[in-house]
Order: sequence, then C-alpha cells, then structure tokens
Amino acid sequence: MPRTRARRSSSIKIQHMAPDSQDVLNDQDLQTNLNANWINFKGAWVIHFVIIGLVKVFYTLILKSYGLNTAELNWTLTNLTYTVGSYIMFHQVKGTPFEFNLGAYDKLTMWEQLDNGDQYTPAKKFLMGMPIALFLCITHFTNYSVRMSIFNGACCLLCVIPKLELSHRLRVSIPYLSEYEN
Amino acid sequence: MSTTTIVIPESLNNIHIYVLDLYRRFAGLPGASIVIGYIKASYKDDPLRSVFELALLLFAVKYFLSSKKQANKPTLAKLSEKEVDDLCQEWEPEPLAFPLGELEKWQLADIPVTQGSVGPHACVDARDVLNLASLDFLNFNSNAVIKAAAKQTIMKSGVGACGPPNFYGTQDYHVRAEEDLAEFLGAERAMVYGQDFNTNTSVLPSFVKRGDLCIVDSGVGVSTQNALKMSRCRVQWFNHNDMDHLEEILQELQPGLAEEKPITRRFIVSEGLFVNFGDYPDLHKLVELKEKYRYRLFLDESYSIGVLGKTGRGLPELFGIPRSSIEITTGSMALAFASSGGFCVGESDMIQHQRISSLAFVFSASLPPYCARVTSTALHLITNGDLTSEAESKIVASLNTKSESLSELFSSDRSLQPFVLVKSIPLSPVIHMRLSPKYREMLQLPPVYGGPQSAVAQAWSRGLEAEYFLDETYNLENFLLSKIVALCKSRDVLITRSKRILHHEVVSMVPELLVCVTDGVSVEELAIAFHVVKESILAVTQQVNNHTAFRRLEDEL
Repeated sequence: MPRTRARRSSSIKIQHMAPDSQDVLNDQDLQTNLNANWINFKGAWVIHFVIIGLVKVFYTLILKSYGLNTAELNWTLTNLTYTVGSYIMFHQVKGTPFEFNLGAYDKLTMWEQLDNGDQYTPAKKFLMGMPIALFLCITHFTNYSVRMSIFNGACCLLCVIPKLELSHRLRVSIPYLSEYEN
Repeated sequence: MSTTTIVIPESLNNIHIYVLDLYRRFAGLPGASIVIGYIKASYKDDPLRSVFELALLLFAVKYFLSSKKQANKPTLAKLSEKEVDDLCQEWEPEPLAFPLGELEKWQLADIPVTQGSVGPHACVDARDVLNLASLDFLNFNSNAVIKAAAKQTIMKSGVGACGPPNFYGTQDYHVRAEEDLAEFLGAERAMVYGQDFNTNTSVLPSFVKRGDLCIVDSGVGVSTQNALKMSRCRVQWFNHNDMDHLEEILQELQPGLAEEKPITRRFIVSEGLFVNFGDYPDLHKLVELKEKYRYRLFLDESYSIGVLGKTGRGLPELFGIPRSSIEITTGSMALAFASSGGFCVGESDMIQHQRISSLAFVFSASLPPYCARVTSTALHLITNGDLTSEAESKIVASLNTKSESLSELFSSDRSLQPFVLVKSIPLSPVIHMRLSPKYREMLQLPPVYGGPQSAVAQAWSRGLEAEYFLDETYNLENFLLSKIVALCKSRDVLITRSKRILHHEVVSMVPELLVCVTDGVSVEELAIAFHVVKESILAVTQQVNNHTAFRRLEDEL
C-alpha cells in the first residue's frame, strides 16, 4: 500500500517550511490580517511598558506579603513573565483566532504573520529591542548578580532567537514532544 | 628552581602603549570620568557577563540599523495618484458575459417560452403540451391547498423577509418550517436557507477548511463541486458509486491521517439521488465505511427528499437507516416541495454552528416567508398532517409508480436500445437517457467531455476565455439532443436535456435527455408521451446514423 506521508523519524528534525503556494498567497491577500496588523499601531508599543509595570507591581505585592521582596527576585520574575508570555504569544500559538483568510495563516506563528513576513520592519525592531533592553536594565537593577544574570540572559535568548531572520518559518520537531507539521 | 623571563615582543608592546595612550586621551574628555566609573562599577570582575551584555547590545544596534527586507514580492502594484487617474480614464468596461459564439446561438432559440402558469400541462410556444420537463415532482405547484397557503402568507407578511436571518429576517414561518423539517426528517434540528444552489456552498465551507479532507463521489452536482472549491480543502475523488474504490482510497489515506495533529476534519461527500445520473449510492456501505474509517457523511438530498422512501423521507428511509447516521444532510425545497430555498438538517450543535458561521445564512437575505409556509404545507400534505407518521404516503407512492412505469417502458424497449441508454434507476422521477456507447462510437464521439486535464479545463486555468467556451463536439452532441427535444415539442410533449457547462465543472460529463415525471401526469398520458419520445429519438438517430451525417449537423447551427 503506498504511503501518503513519509514515516516520522525518531530523531530531532529541524527544517524550514516550504514556501507558500500561490493560492495560499492569494488568500493571504484577501483581507488585511487583523491578527497581526494591530502591532503597527503606536498604542500597541506603549502597552509593553504598561504590562511590564503592572507585572512588576503585581510581584511587589505578592513578594511583600511573603516578606521576600528583593529587587533581584522581583525583576527576575517580571522578566520571566514578560519573556515567556511573549514567547507564547508570538512564537508558540499558530494561526488566527478569526476566519478572515480561509485558513491561509493556519501554519504561521504571529511573528511570521507580522508585516507579511518582511524582516527588519519598525514593529519587528521594536519587539526585538524590548527583551534585550529589559535584560540589560535588569542586570543592573539586580546588582550584577551572576546567578540572576544567567537566568535572565536565558529568558532573553528565548525571545531573541526565534525572532532572528534565520529562524523565520523554521520548525523544530522533537519526538514525543512536538510533532512536525507538514 | 629556575626563573623564566617573559619577553614581550616589540610589536605587542607598541600596541599596549598605543592603547594606554588612547585611554589617557579619552579620560581627558569632559564627562568621561562618569562613563569610566560606570563601566568599572558594572564590570564587577565578571568578564563573561560583560562580554555577553556587550554582544547583545551590539546585536541590537545592528538589528536596528538593518534595512527592511521583503519576504514576498507584493502582489499588488503601488501606483501613484496620477497613474490611478490615467488608468481610470483609459478604462473601458468589458461586457459582463462573453458574447455568445456563432455556433452557440441555437441554444438561445432552443429555450421554450411558456405562457400562463406551468403545471403538468402548459402552453409552450402557443401550443398546449404535456409538460415532462418540470422538477415539480409531486405537482404541488398546481395544488389548491399550497396556493391558498402561499396567498394567505403573502397577504399577511409580504413577499420578502427584508433581511438576513440573524438580522430581522426570521419570522414565525421560518421557525415553523425548520421545526417541521426536523420533525419530518427525524433530525434534531433544521435550518432553512434562502437559496438552494447556495446551500451546499455555504454549509460545507463552514465545517471544512484548508487542510481538511473530503472524499467525494465524482458524480456530484455543480453546487457541491463549488462548495469544495470554496472550502479550500483537499479533495479525493472516487468513481461514481464505486464503494470498492472508495474503500481503497480510505485505506490508502489511513496511515497518514492517524498521525496528523491537530486531527483533520474528514468528510465523505455524496448525493441522495444524483442530479447528474438519477441513481443513488449504497448507503449501507457508505455508513459502514465512514464509521470504520472515522469519517463524517455529507449527503445532498435535493432530488431524493419527497421522492425516495415510503413517506418521502429520502435515501435513509429507503435503506432503513436512521437520519442520525448522516452527520450533515442538505437539500432543496424548490423541487418536490414546490417552494424555494434550501435546508440543512442534523444534530443541534451542527446547526447552531452554522447560525453564526455559515456565510449564506449570516450575510444573505432570508427565505421569503411564504416559501417557508409552502414548505410546511407541503410536508403536511405528504404526511397527511402527521409529520412523524410511518404510514405510506399516497402521493409519494403514486409518483413512484409512475416513475417506475415510464422508466420500465424506456429501458425495456428493444428498438431504443441501440441508440439510447437509460442511466437512472426506476424510482428516479427524472429519467436520464444518454446516447448508447455503440451509437456514440458510430458517430465517433468521445466517451466523456471535460474533466481534469481536458483542453477546456486547461484553458480555464489559464484564463483563455475564448477557448474554454466551446468544445465543438460537445456543442454538436447537445444540438443533436435538442433536435429530439424539438421534435417531441412539435408533437406536444415537452421534455428537456441536461444543460451543463463544461468549464463550470471539474468532473467529466456526457449530455443527456431528461424526461421528468410529475404526479400531475396520468399513466395513460405517460404511455402516449413514451411513444412520442421514442419515435422522436428513432427519427433523429436514424437520420443521423454515421459520422458524416453527424458532422453535417454543423451546417444547421
């Protein structure tokens, strides 16, 4: 019996997705991608600072109630929340929440949908700058503590590496952990 | 013990001196002491961390200074305002439809013109004819009860619903019609659509999306074909009513599908009574296969509702299968119910999903209220007032008897057999007759027209409008059939032929003569009509009995 798909190999597989076919591109052009275009509004940039501020206040309140409020812990938790949150939002979830383009974006993460996949656009520069700036500030807020710096650096890289041009449309499949999507 | 002396090379020493010199100059600049103080404070004897930070900073600066890089060339051209104005000035509107070709003009003249109301007997081209070209199977168009119900509803609520169903377009008549349909068909819920041709193209794409899978009978009508195109799903075609071929495809696809995540939605798509063939699939086998391979079943019952089964409940009743075994059933109310619009029945959740995600339901105008009322009335007439009744419906039984008797006449007639082949089953009220393979061979006609890879399909995909309109042989075969239709009409029997457009469909086709039985025509009249049709077929086919005679028809076009 002929197989319709190649057998999944048991090793880790890293490869770029095939380019979109013409009818997928046509459907992407049907309508503005409302899932991604709001990121170009200036208000969407300000909200990053607001969210970081709110998260910081939240951790201050929590940590104070346990008597653990130190600048190191507080800023590190804030950084962790911001980076993991933005990783999930930009690099984990695929597709669009609404049906506007007949599923033409179903296989792409939000970062890949941004500005139709163009690189080095103003929005992408801002989003790339944000975690780096946060990390550089935080190492200084945390009194250059080495342990915290290593942890914060790792968090920062979690957000920076998937944003590289090299990682565009790159899919990593780890057996039993993440399936390779064709 | 021995002492070792490190000799610093002269060149390195020079660099050292040069760097120190640079540092001294920098320290002399105003404000430099603050910077140096900060760097010393943040260095903290930790070179690795500092290098990492510096690298990150440099990377950010480089990223920030990089210029924009486009992933895809934009498909839309950027035009200046002047260019836009120029283009608008130059623009000349093209005709909405491609002009009718010289060779096709006969088709326009071929359309019968009726006068007055069209029932089993109609006035066509100023002659009283027996109408065997109507899809009003149960003769409800001429039914006094139906007419009275329609009139009463128009008096009360006008001729239109004035909006989409979710936006002031739903009236009590629509809700009653939905309830009646669900009750009659034994489904949880039903919903009505404003137009039957758009029902499939709206229902299917609201469930099947890009990446999903449909296994489709290659005999489905153009409405379902459009639905598949619009849904952007993957389509696998199986030979018409060939359950072995279907199973083969299901088996082939099984190993790949089991691994796919997220799970693809999978449908088997078929029709209750095929609009293009007049036959039905083996529903037992279809249900067995879809359960074995975990697919859902989509069944278009446009032609089978009100026709098949003891009480006209369609294909499942004929096979003794509950309606719940079929996930999505769609159908038309414009045929047996003599109304208008389409419907979809099935489970509540399936119907509720459509109420906000089915395009024709959300954005198109609702069914006129009187059409909904006519549907309800028709259902009550079929079932004698009790929608859940299991008793045989007289009107459906009478139609079935007539269909069977006429079909029997055509398929058992020996003199017709060399020329025409009856494709439809005896129960089908539309009798599909195509030229027999032997006769087609004699005229040197191709086995089928159109379909994938055909010249028309290729011209269509390249957008060569002038080319895809005309397949000369197809046109000529249709002309031959129209001669039979015209001969019948001159003898006061109106029949019709299939009018399918090659470039509108993705499946291949063969032109057919269609004789439609309606309940308003008596058995005696059918017998007379049979003789007229038979003699017409024989007259035309004997006149055109070889390839040269067939080609000579071109002169008549």
